[in-house]
Amino acid sequence: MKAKNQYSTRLSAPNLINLCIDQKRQGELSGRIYHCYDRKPQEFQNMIQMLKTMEQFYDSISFPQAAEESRYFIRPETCCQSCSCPERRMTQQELIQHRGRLGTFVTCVKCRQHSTWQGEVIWLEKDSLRRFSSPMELIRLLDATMEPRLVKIEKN
Amino acid sequence: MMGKANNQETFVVRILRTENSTWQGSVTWVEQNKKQNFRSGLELIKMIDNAMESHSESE
Repeated sequence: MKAKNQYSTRLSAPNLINLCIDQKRQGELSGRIYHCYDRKPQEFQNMIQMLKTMEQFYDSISFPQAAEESRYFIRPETCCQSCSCPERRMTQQELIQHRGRLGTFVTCVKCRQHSTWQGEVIWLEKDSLRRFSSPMELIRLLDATMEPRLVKIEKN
Repeated sequence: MMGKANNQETFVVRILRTENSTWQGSVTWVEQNKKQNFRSGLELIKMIDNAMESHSESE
């Protein structure tokens, strides 16, 4: 597969996430999140759920480590994340075999500076890599890729 | 006092800057009269989500 060859060096990150987008309904994207530490996907119904799941995952493996501690109105109870040490359940190559009905986006957050994310996303079906500087940019990229496809489906 | 449906809270968001491709500003939780500064859109979302979860747990 072209994507594997072109971006193989980028697919070795331990915090790689495969975002499988299955549906767009009333402007909301929904789908499944895969990572190497669980064979079962975590489903999300909207972008807020997706961001929360991804952030919790990065916190659970402490990678990439957040540069700032999050502020809250009410401080949540923290469990000792380092005690759990999640084990890997699949390789990155297995991870990228999953496909979304509308699109598949392999996401690598490289840094969590300024209380936000910086990273890269590969749209597997189009073999296209884009960088993002915040979750908002990531959402915009995902959303933009969905539009032409939906128009195409509607025309058919 | 006006009746309020369950799980409804009011947050007033003030965006002061847009640096690092994200938002910085302050958010006020009206019912609790609490104010907090946020450094990104993600932090804002997490703050509101945490407030809603904490509030629903305490009820």
